[in-house]
Amino acid sequence: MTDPFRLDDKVAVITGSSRGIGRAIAESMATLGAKVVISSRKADACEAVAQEIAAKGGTAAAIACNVGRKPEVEALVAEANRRFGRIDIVVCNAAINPVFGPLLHLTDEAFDKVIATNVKSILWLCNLSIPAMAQRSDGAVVVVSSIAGLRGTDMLGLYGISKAADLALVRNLATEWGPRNVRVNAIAPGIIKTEFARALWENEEMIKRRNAQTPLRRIGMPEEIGPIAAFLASPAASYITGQVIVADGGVTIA
Amino acid sequence: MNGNRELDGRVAIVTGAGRNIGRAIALELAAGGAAVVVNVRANQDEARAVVSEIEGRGGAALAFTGDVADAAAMENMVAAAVARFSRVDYLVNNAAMRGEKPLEDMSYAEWRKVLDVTLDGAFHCVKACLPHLKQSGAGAIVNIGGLSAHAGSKHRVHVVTAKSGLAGLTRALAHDLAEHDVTVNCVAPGLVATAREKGFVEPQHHAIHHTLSGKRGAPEDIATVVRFLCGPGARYITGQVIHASGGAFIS
Repeated sequence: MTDPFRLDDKVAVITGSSRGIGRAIAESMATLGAKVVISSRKADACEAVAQEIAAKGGTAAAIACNVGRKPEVEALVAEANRRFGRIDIVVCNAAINPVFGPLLHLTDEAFDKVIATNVKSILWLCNLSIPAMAQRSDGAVVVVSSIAGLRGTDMLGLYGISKAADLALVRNLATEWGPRNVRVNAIAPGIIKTEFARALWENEEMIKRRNAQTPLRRIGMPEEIGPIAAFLASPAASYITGQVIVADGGVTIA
Repeated sequence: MNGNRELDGRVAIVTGAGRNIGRAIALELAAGGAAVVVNVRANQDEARAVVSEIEGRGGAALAFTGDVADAAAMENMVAAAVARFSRVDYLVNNAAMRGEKPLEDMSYAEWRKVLDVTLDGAFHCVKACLPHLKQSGAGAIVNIGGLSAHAGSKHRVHVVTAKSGLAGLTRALAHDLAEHDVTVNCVAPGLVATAREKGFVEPQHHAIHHTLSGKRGAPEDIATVVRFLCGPGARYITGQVIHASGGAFIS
């Protein structure tokens, strides 16, 4: 009996995968047999992760890409196809969060930049890679959103807006491509202990309050998100599409 | 990590596991390495067949006949599980009653009967398993809800209410059990191709909803979701409803 959780010989492109959640996703997928493309803005950081995965017996390639630049996204897809022959899985994880503070003081420039990087780039990557998946009637996209896309916050408004847009994007792509057997789902993590979210967890007062509000009484680890993305990309999730898997220790039900 | 017998050494109880989704869940958890208690209300042949199938693949399983609506029977089931396997890590509340009837024709007894099995049954099983789930260190409860609990459905007030109740039970229990490292989630299947009893009438909502692929899901498609939620890859997920209905709930 074949294990429906395995990803043997699948080619997975994971953006923002030189560290944090993206890296954990790449490691999970590689462990389950996928050939993974490690991608972030810094080539040397990607190369280091790819080498570590290869050292553990996995198959990985490093392709640098700033997802905010369309020619680089096009090059990422072209290069991944050149190296591995096809793309079966796309994980849209790269995102920016440069603005803290009330929406009242938000500049147009900041708005445009965050929406372009966190939303528009996903559409670029999906539109470049999904048609080939559809032709083979097999493919999966996983978008890493955030519970900030489900709830309001007083300091991360723009980020939340972009992450909510990601969820609508996921539902619509799922609806468009479902008939061709390409599934599109999202993960909405709570606070995860990554560099990206450092500002949210290194303040001891804040984290104490946060843990008290969280049923599981702790923030999450990147290694707790990796397996969820791997699951969503695998045949084990073949009947799940257009969904958001919330992984937040229960904080949004509290 | 998912897959690769990640449930080795764990023990699961699956209610209503004689056929269809419950049976598929029992087989899938066993494939993950868990020992499985196969609960059926009355059909011992079905329970024995599932146990044989698991044992035939090298797994461990125990058949238990008892109605989930009977609290004492569920206490006995858990006692039997612990006597045989020494622990209980996972409870899958799958046993349910269905039916369709206009509200005008539905008696209170008929309303109660569905709630008694689907919702009260889950309560009895949780209560019976509680001391053991707390001991697990990585316990999980998975409640099997349904698409119509979220979309609504004509002539199914009892079924829709009971399944919605399971979603509420999921969120409430997630709070109560988090401190014991027990996660509680709900899988909401929809449009799954299952074997029906003679005389079964297709629910009316099946004519309204459709999956994006146009194909019905298989019981195995639901079982893998349950296995994932029980396993080590889902420890930060609790209180959630996961829809497995081929996109029927979004389009």
